[in-house]
Amino acid sequence: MDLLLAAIPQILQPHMLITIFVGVAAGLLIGSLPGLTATMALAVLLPFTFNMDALQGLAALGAIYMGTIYGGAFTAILINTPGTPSSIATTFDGYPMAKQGRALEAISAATIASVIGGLVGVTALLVLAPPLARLAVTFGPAEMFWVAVLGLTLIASLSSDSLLKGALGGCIGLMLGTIGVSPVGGETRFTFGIPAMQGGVSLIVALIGLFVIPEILSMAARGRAALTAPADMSLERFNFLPVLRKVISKPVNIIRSCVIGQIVAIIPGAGGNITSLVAYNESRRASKDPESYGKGNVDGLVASESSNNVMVAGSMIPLLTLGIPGAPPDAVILGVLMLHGLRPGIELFTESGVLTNGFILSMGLAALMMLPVGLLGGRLVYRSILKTPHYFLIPTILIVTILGTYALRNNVTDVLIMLGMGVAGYFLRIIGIYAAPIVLGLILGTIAEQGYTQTILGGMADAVPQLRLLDNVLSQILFALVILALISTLLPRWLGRKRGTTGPGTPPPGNE
Amino acid sequence: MIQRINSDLVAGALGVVVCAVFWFNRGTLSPLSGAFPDAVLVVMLAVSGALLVKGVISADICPAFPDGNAGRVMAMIAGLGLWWLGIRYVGFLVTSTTMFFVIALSLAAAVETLSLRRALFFAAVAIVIVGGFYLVFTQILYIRPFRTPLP
Repeated sequence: MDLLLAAIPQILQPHMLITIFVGVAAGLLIGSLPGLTATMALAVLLPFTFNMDALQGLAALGAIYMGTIYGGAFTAILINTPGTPSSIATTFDGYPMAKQGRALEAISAATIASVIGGLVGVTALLVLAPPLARLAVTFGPAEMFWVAVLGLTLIASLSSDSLLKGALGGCIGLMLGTIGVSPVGGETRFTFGIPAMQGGVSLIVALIGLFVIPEILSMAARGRAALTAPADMSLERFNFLPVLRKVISKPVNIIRSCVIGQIVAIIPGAGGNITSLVAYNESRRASKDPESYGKGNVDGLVASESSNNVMVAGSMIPLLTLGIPGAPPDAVILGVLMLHGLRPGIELFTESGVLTNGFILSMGLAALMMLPVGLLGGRLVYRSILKTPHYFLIPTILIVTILGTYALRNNVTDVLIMLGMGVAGYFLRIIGIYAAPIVLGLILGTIAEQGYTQTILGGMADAVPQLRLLDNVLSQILFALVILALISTLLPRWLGRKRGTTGPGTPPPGNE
Repeated sequence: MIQRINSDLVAGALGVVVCAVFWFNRGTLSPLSGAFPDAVLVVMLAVSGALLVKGVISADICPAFPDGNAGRVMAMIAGLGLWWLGIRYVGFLVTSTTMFFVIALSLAAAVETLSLRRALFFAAVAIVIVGGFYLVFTQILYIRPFRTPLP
């Protein structure tokens, strides 16, 4: 507690506050550009922290990280393009809200949820770091397999018009995820004789292609932008307080999403994209009105944004206590710790306690600063997009997506894959196979395969190696959750069909 | 006349084709590397088969181009292809400025009458936007541009 109190005056100095503010604003800007991930933002802006002292440098990177994850929500809401993979689930309800002329409400709700998520993550990091770190190391390959399968059950929710087409989309995503080097065997698979395919299909490339290009083609076909400005811009004036009331009037939704975010965040390698998808799915499943999800339900947006911002500070728990990066951007933070001669572990909370607590508190400040930066920045981005004629907006989005895709690995083949997947995604959308299940399969396929194969390898001496998947209590609990998730999604739909209450032809979440 | 397609049948056929493409490129994978993709392919084939059956029994019929102008979609796809070829073999800056200008002009032509003065304005916007993003990515974010004859 003394160390915590000693850290407070250090982070409240003017230069620290300015650093955090600039970090959040820079992160927000980068996060809102499709293709530029939080890892890339941290890596690119890392050299700017070399001349700073350890606390200022860490605070800057923490603020950039938080701003980037939050910034991804902007384009997710406004142009149906997740700025970062963590914002995939934000598109499901954010974009329909924007199309209904509720873009500012969606941005405000996302901001409030992000701030709450950020603060919850920081609090958890301060209070629960050691016990949660011990929980994280109990997740072995079998548990990771079941976490991935639990995420895959979301396909059932995402496919309300045709479960078969959703499953087909999921399978396509899973197969795309197998292209390249096998995660366990190390063999090269399904490269179709193209050497550049050995690196596999990058998630970001697929994400940009499947979400952005179909929308661009659709805009071109319609001859107008996706968003249309209200006849009177003053109609878009609204009070912030009602949105705040709406968001906090459902505390269970926020608490559940934050808890999910926190648990997934401490599992090394899981990352914010899975966090937000699982939280969104659980929110929909627990809702009294699940049919409204994907059509502009603010609760879905809140679930996604609060959980992915919990992840930012949450993923620092295994990093600071065990030296295991909870998510890819944490690896950059680890590098900065090493650069300043700091080693993760108990010493970080004792000998360097003031610095560590200062870093954690600075992330709390960054979360708070997202409120003014986000609300002002959000309005600016919204008005810019609305006022830009579609004939300039479409090629501008294309420029950013092409550059963003190329920038990932300095690879023009990635650009070709992105465009190819985008065109394919447009035609798949016409026949009812949407982007969300494909992306979900791609994200979770590798985790599921790695968990499955490693578990089977560990049980090679057993008569039935697959039984290792249910070898311990944690795996059994996760398996039970998978079954429960499937029953709770499919049973109401089956009963609804029997009663004839299911409306046909409505696009499922994330598929508009 | 709006063309309609049996989306279940098309989706099922597509699933079978994707399965075949992956299966015939499988080669000789060890059990470690092959177990997971094989399992997915089996599930995918079953789902595709179910879609084909559904396409025959109770088909879901949908419009082939629900967004409207099919010609514009095809033109845009061709434009994207040309854009990539230009980036690969000519140069990012030159190709992207040209493509920005062409796409913006063709989209605007559908909603307004264009004059030479307006076209020049479009060209200036293309140069500013493409040049601006190019500079940000190469000079601030240090992204190394792809080697081509032109910038």
